[in-house]
Amino acid sequence: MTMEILRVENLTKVYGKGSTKVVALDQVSFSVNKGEFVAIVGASGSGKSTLLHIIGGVDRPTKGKVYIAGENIYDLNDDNLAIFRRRQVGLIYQFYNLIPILNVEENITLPLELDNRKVDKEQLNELLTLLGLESRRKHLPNQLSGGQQQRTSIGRALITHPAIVLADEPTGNLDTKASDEIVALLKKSNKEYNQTIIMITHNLEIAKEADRIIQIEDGKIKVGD
Amino acid sequence: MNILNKISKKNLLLNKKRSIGTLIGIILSTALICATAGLLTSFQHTLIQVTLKDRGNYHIALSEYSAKQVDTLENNRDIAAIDILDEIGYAEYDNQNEVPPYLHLYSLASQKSFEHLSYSLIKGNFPKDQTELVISEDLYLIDKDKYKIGNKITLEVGIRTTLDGEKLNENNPYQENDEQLIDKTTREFTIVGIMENNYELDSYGGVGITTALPSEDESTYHHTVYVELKNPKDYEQSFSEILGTTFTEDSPVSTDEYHLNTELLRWQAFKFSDSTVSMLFTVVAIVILIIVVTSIFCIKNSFDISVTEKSRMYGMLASIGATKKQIKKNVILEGLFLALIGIPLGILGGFLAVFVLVNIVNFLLKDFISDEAVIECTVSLAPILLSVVLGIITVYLSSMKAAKKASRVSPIESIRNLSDVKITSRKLKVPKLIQKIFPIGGVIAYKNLKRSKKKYRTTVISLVISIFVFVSLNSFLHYTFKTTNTYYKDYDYNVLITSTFEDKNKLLEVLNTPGTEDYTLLYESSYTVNGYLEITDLSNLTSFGKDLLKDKLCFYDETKDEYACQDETVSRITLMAMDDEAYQEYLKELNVKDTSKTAILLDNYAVEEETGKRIEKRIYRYEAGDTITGTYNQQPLSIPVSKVTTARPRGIENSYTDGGYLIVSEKDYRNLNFVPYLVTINAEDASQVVQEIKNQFPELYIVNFDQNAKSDKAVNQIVSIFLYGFITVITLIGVTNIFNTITSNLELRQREFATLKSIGMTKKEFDHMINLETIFYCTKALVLGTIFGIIGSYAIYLAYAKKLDFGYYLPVKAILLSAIAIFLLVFIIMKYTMKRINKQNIIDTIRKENI
Repeated sequence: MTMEILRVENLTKVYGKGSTKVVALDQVSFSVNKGEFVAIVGASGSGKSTLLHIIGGVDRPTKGKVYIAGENIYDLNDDNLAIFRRRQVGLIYQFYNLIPILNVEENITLPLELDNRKVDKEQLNELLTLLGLESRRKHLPNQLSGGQQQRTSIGRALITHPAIVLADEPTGNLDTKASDEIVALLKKSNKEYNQTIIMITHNLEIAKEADRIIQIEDGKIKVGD
Repeated sequence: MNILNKISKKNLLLNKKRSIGTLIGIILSTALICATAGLLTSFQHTLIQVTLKDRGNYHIALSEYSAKQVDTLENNRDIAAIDILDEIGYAEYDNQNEVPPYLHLYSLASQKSFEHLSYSLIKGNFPKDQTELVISEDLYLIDKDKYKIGNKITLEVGIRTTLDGEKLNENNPYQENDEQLIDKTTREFTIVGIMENNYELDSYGGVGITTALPSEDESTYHHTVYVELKNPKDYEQSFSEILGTTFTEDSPVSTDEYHLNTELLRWQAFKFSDSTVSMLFTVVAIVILIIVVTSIFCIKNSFDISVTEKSRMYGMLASIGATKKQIKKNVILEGLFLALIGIPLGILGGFLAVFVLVNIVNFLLKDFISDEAVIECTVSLAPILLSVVLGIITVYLSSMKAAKKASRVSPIESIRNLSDVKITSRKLKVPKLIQKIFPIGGVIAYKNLKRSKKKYRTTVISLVISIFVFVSLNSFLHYTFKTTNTYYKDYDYNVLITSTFEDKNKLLEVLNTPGTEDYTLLYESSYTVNGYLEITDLSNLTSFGKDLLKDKLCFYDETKDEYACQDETVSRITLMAMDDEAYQEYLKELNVKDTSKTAILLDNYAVEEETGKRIEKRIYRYEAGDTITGTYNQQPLSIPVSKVTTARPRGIENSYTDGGYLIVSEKDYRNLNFVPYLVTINAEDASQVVQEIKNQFPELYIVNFDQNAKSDKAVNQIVSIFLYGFITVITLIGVTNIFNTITSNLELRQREFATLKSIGMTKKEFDHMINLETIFYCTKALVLGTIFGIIGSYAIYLAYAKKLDFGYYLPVKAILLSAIAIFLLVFIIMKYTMKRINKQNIIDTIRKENI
């Protein structure tokens, strides 16, 4: 039996007012099952990043609801949303967004530490092996290549075993070889940990690796399911 | 270690420049608070020591106190020490025709009491027992051979009474034929010491004290019982208990039953202050307030900047699920780390500053003050506690604000790099003037300032505060110097002698001393009771003059057992005379031609208005040419007035009476019986003249104005060292602050600059834009800073105006100086930072995502 992990209902996001009004998302609804690997594709300005940010709980919708693991995340207050985010959502950005003063290992374990949870050494080592970063664990972000930095940020997203991992153009800043590695890594975690992943990309080749593609155009879902 | 603590610590270590900037701010402000408080406590300590030496270590002196009451005092836990002074009596001695012909004898319980009450020995020792005696300097000077240490003197000691047998004490003046000494006993003493005159014991100075245990008999009354309290701050409660009635701050400080050591209480409990002290406290309070406000702003700015720099990091932390509380804690923790290092260093620095300042002051003052008044550098707990508390509060408040800002950073804004540039959508019109004067660079600069006000707010605020502090402190400096200067005007004489001789010829002997040639002699009436020109026709008085006479005539109504007052019906002008030569000189100065038997009327009475300002008012309606008619020594007397003036002759510049002065020539009015009163001398070498006269005539009271002026100059120097030191530190804080804000503001805009250059802005255009921005916001800061500075300087003026009568002065010089300094400083800092930024590659900067 498949289990629904994410449901988006009538999501609308409007920026600005009057003449400067921009509708970034217009009545978007869809759902994702546990263990699915979904790619969201669309042109620049189509609203895909906005959608991802709203699902990830870092931006608020104008209207509509987002259920993750059965809970409407926008019913939560700011602090509870932050806690929900660190336990249930893993975010991966195009520009990695690592904390420059922390090394690889510290960056990866940061969400656990924020939650005052013990780091399971074995699990961490396993993850580092999966990411291919065992020999880099004590390096600072500026001592790493782009691909290595992105792998670190994937590690940070996976360490908490979140309900969903959201990746915003994870390969946008990388060369082809590094891009392939990252996609392979995401697929591997999807298979091995049954990890739900939603990935934004404008690269159709990469999108094809996903189980399902959702296409967005002018804030609306064009081709889906 | 918790991950957040780790991030705080790493942040501090990796952003060394910023951390050091903040640290310097914390150190400077803590040091300033500590130094100000430390100086205050050092001064307080010194003043207490001086007062103890001067007045003795007691808080209340109880008169005619019974031995029985002393027993209860001994059981009072609030009391630290009791000294009992008993009166032995009076003894006749040869006083060379001066009055009174008595020597006043006392006894103290122990040698320790002499020290405790600070009787200061000139020579010898305090008496060990009742056979030994310490005598006052006055007595010694009468006959140095007879009263020298080691001599034995035999005295007939008795009790002073009226002829009716009523006991008299030191407060009753000597009445030659109306009093007697009774119950005389013969006593022999060995003189063991000579001490300074103590006019509290007897205003005539002839005093001897021996050491004898007080009587144990409960019915005896002690002359005075001196009580020292354990905790002077609780004086109200302690005095109430001792006196048996409620004592409050408003109770009289001196009655028949007791008198307080108000000087000591003033410095120990900060009570019974006069207006000078309250003015001082007002000014010090304003100064401390300025320090605290400036420090808070400076430190807050540093935190603000570091938060802005790291806002991206806080956004990332938030996006991976750090709560607001966690981020706040992180920022505050950074502040506490810095406080932990900065506050102790600041306190050390503060005490070092106090130590250096105190030593400089002592060095400058060493010629003018006795060893007792040397300021001690005291390290007490109060300034440390104050600095720690204020330091922590300052750091906490400053970091709190920044922490709130950090926790408000929304993850989406930081991800998109939007946080600090919130541009309002409303249309922005660039004034035609700016477009005309400054082409493209100016327009961009103007838009920059208008659209991202927030970016500049910190810089503008720190500039405004620096200008404000500089301008208002300059006024503080100005008024302080003005205050010290008004106390010592330039007189055209430097020695003033108050005559105790009634015989003019004896005084002329004094004026034979070499160096006294240029002198003026002022005479007063020999009739101490009727020595005024009494005017009964009150129509010649102004309404103010009439007001002065209201309720002046008071008498005791026995039937009603109360004092009653009524209006005085006579106005009294004090008659004074000058030796003719000086009088003619005086007339010439006043431009008076008529020199025959005329008089000059000094008619200006100084009153303090409710606002605290001193103004002068006239008492009489007389004008030049009028004749003043009245009675003098019960005889009618008319004196024509040749001029009414406020220009006073030498010697009475600062004396005022209820009826003004009438100055005549002694030669013209010899029949009025004048006696010498004051001599003013303009001597070449004042100290030599004073020394010589003192040797020959030790009984004369002499003031050396040169000495006063010299010590005044030293005081001025000290005040300037303090104030300039203070201004330097405040300016340093300001400069640190400005440096911090400007460099970080420019560094944060690196990407924006790189973009402008990448689209083809030349270096010249770019520099032009930056310069214009600088001019725009410096001008804004100057206008605001000047307004606040003027308000601040006016507040300081008001604090001073309580005491002195001078008008407000606009600190133009300070404003101009701060304007020049601000522009120079800002341009230098801008140039320095831009040079560093310009070295970086454009594309690298644009691409730089992870700062």
